[in-house]
Amino acid sequence: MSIMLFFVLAMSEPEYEVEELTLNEFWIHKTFQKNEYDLVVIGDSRVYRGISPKHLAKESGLRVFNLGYSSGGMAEPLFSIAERSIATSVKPVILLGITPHSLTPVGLSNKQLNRLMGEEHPAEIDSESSGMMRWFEPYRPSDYLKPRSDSSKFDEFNHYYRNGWCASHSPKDDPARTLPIYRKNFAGNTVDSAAYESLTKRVKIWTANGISVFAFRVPSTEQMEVLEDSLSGFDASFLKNQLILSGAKWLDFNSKDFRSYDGSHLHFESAIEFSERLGKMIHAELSNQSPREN
Amino acid sequence: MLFNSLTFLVFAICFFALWPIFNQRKNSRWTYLTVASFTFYGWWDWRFLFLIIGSGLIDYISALAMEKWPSRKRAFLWFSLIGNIGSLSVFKYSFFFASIIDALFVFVGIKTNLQHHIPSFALILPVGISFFTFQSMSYTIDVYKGQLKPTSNVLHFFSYLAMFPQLVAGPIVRAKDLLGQLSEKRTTNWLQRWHGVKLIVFGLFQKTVIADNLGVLVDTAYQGKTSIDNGLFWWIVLIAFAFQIYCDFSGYSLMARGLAKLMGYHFKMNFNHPYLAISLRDFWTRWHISLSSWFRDYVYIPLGGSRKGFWRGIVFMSITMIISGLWHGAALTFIAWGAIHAFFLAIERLTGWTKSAPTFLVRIAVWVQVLVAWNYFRAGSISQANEIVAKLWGNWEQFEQIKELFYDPLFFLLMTILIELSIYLRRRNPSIRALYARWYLDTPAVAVAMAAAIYLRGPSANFIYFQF
Repeated sequence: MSIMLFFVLAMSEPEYEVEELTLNEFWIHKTFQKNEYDLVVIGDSRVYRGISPKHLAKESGLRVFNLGYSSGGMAEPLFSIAERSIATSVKPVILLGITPHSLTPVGLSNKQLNRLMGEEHPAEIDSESSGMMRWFEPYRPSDYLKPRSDSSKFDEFNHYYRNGWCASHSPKDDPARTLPIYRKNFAGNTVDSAAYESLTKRVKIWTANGISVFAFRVPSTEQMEVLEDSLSGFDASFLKNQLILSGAKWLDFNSKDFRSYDGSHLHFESAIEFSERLGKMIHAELSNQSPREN
Repeated sequence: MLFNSLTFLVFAICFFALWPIFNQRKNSRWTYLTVASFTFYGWWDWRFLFLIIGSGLIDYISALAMEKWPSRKRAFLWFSLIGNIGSLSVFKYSFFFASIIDALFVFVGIKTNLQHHIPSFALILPVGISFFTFQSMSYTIDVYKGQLKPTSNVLHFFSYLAMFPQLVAGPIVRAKDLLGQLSEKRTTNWLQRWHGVKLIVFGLFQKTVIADNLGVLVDTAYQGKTSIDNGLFWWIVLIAFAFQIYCDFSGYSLMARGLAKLMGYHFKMNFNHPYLAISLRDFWTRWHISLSSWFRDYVYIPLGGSRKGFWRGIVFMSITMIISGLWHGAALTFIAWGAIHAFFLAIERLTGWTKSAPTFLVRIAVWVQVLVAWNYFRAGSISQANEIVAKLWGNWEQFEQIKELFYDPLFFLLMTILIELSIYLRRRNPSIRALYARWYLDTPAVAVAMAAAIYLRGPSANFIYFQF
């Protein structure tokens, strides 16, 4: 009877644990974990707050990890970490969460990530299971029994999860809160045209190596997009064309469809919805492709 | 090597595969058990083996010397006690006592700085030192009292002292209960083996499903990782900790008893559903029975017990409870835990209120006393514990947020309470008890517990009592 139960439970493959971490554990784990994934999403804080790997995985059927960093830029060492994380996948995918700031010199310097890489960390970073051990991943009752939260009842929170996502909530939305900060951020720090070139070059290498690349502009608010487009020197349609020519797929979203609590980052409920939509779109695109031969 | 690890699974499979071969003769049995147990213990750090061997040899030699020179047996008992308490003092209490002495001298204006002069080896706490030291001491004390004949075979002695199922976290098995069993060739039938497996599975369930899942909530709360900080939250945390520590330790004891049963040995029950107690005194006859009876027989009764009058009895009980607190750890929080129990036990003795009050109210009051005491046991400092006690009487809001953040631990807490409730009903109602014994309920219960131990397990954590 036990064997029967084991069989049924193992075959239904429980979801990966998305245990909560402290802020420091969150960054250390994100940087030094050595698990194998099929899809990694890279970018800045809009990515790590705006994309829930659990919900993206549910719709895409892939093993997903969020590699968003504070002021993360489309450059090294983020690219190398992304490549390492999907190195063994037969269906590797890199998802580029583009924001204008991620292509500015400040973004491209990847200050936070470079600092983290020099930090001491435990020799054994807790890892998720792979191979046959995945059959023994534990179930969490909340994944099956808990109704979706009504966030209006909560105070402000940031929940840091092991899969790289930070669920953020503020009881009162203030879409103008971060506008002055971004106005300041782009003073003397505009999009570097060389960044387009280096990104498209890397995308060409990835696609040539059988990695599927998807790119999208991370939704925020209309006001924020107007501000970014006017101050950052970011040219969304130019980048979109360049990336498509390099072999990437561009996914379009409208910021109006989502809720941002501070004008820049998605509220966790919107992040879940956005991740599910992303997952569905990627699944549809990948269904038409054959897996990479290793 | 943890009972809930793959390494132990491999170890146990190898051990039990060869057990029938080595179990045939006394010497091979004792040698096999000793070698296997030393391997089990040395897996943490082989250097600790010198401690258990050294401490064991002191008692082995002392007991033989007592038999050979009865007129000097008191001196040999002192030799054994100094050896055992000495090693405990060095490895477990040296830093604690040094910090107290330093603080006292600072108070009179002298800087001693003893803490920084303690050799680094004494700062390492060997796993299970309090358990095997107490077990070893009970052997010499029983020989001294003439209640036990010492064994002349050193392997016989070490197969008792180091027997791997109970070595690091009890139960504290007395030599008079186990040495005799080890002398015989004990065989097991299918029913006994089934009972052994059942104990292991239920123990594993208690540890991995209940204790480890509740630990998420308790650790988050005591490490201050959450912004929720009100009365309702702390009551939930305290109840969760009460069940976490119970299931963690009771789970280990069940697994130890199950493993011993598979070898054909019998260990006494160590927990008897303590949260169903109808007085604090009753609680102590159900909680960590092997340790509380050890303190009763080797501390409380030798001090004078209740034979020397009512008030002295209370003083002796208080001393015993405070030493019991100190046994758990070298910190003021553990002493406070023992003192709180002593205080409530004294009130119970003085007033006898638990005998006259309605049972339902008594149960709740005992619960509150035990929970408040657990808070001091778990807290990082006395001041943290005091702050939490002050918050307990604060507001009772934010349940929605607690549920949102800790849905899984709350789920397992509710499940645990329902399981305890079903045990309570089973004990009160013979027909329910008979129903549980039927194979068509008994077997699926084991199967479900086994699957749950894998698929509902919490984040892996050490056994709490290993640190003692």
